[in-house]
Amino acid sequence: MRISYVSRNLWTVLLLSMLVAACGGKADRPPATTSVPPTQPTEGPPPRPEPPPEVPDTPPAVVDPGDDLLIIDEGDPLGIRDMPLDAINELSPLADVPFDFDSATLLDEAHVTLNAHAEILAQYDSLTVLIEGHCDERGTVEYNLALGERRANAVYNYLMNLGISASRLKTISYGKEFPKDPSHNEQAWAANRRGHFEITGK
Amino acid sequence: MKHLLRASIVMGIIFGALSSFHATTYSSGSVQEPALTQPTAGDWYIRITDPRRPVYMAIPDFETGTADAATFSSTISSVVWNDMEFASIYRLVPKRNYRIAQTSSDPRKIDFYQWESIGADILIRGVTEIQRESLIVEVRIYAIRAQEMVFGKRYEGPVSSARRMAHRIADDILIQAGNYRGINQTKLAFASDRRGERSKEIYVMDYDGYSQKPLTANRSLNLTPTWSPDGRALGYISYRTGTPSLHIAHIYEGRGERFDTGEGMAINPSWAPDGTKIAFTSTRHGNSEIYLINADGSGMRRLTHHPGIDTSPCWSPTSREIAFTSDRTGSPQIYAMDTEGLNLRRISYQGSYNDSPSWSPSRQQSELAFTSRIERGPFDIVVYDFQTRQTRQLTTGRGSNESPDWSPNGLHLVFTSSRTGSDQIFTMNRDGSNQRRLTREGKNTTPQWGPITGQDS
Repeated sequence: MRISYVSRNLWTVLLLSMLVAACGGKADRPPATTSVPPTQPTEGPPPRPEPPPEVPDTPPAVVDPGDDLLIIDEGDPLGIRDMPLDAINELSPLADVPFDFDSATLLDEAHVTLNAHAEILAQYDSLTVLIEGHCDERGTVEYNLALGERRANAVYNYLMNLGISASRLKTISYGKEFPKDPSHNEQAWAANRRGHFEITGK
Repeated sequence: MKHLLRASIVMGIIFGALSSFHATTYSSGSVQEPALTQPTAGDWYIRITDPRRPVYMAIPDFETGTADAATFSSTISSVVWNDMEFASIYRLVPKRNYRIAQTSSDPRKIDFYQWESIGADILIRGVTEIQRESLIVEVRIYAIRAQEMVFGKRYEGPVSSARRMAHRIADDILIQAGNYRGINQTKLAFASDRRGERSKEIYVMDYDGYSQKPLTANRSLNLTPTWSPDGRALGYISYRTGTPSLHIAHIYEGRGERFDTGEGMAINPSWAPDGTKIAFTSTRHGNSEIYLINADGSGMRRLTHHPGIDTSPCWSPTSREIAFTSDRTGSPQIYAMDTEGLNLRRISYQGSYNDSPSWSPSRQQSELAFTSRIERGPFDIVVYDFQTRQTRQLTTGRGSNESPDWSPNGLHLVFTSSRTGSDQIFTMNRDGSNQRRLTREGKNTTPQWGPITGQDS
């Protein structure tokens, strides 16, 4: 089992995204779903996660360079170590991964997101996570319970293969019971077909 | 000739916390046959079940024997009317036509010719009274052309039992007039989020949507109830301990238990009609498979072995076969197997998504109802006929229609529909007619029709 190499670029994007979120923006989609090249596995022993990057030369205008959030501690690039669990989950450091309708197959986009999640979980090696499988409202309550379980399992297996210990991961299916967006349209359905991560211990 | 029959109805269900017990016993004491003889068995029955033409029934509002019985009389009249209308066995002669035939206030004087002139084959007459704080209803069934009373019965109970008494009367009418097993005293179980968005509790209501009461109150997610065949227990899924697991509520004893089904989640339970076993889906071996467990929680065993999803088991009326859903061919489809997991066969070939099968309890019509998605369209209820191998569609594209379950007499179905904008419980006849909405508060899903119980007539 090996940990994927994550480029410095990814860390930068990830960090900026977290900063934007912390500065009032709603924590949104994971970083680097489009602009970051796919990660490459490296040969040999798993490398330690890349050290946190320096503060970018030109931070975005919304970020106050004097803000303490910019003080990066090598052991806490996300600045979550001292946060209570609720606050961490509010921040959603592990973004949702999407699925297609009636499918539990991980999309390319999900691979990128999960590679980043694996890095975070390697960095914060005491975090324990509940992986929730969710479905959109189409289809039956009964079948979606099984489908959500399969989605959670797909995520679980992927993270396990990236070296995250099974003892830190649990899965649950909520079927179509807890939609993120209660609307009845394609956009809501896409948002609701998800693997969601709840930090349960740190 | 007088018969003294002993009749008692036990119709109490414990609601709210499982530990609390509240059961009401309503005993009618003696039930008297009125002073007219029963017709020869079979004679009456054959005459009114002549298949060549519909049979018309007149049900005038019940008369009021004492003034304080007026509201109960009106409740009982409307419940009986509604029950008979729902049953769809008889055509009801419109009430506006009754005046011409109601010439006498004496219930024993029936102007049979006038009732015949407005098309009635059967007349139901009832008298409601309050005596010593008890509600007393006398019901008589008349065969119009034979010009005779064919059935009479006296019901007595507390005034709070008016609706239950009316349902009992309607069931008696169906049995006596045509040997139909009515479902008017049955209950429906379902899951509802009306107490809060992040929780769903199991609720129970009368078949007509009245008396909706929570069975669970744990503020967790509780789903997919299944009735024991004696109606005394409900199996359901609860997330109250974290992982969804199989729970049993013994509703007349105020006792609940959780079955140990090992690692993984347990979902979608289905109680066998013979009462001995519960089929359900478990992921204890890493993947959704169908398992059986004995009704006492012992003897868990696996029936399916496939890397695809196998879920949503339901039983044949003989308890010898199980229909279920599998995505082993790439999309969810309905299959059937025996209780050893053998003799597997595929049932559904139409539609891109089929789930939530329910096997008709009727021995006459061997049918399977399930949720089907035709191509990329909406989800609708369809029924597969095992004899003709034809599938007929019962709902048509108004919202999503899901999770059908048969009434115990096989004549109706309960299901979930989103046609009004949110998931609500509906009932309909087995041909898709007579669709009625039963719930309004919150979102309500996964209905299950309870068995016929508590009848001794």
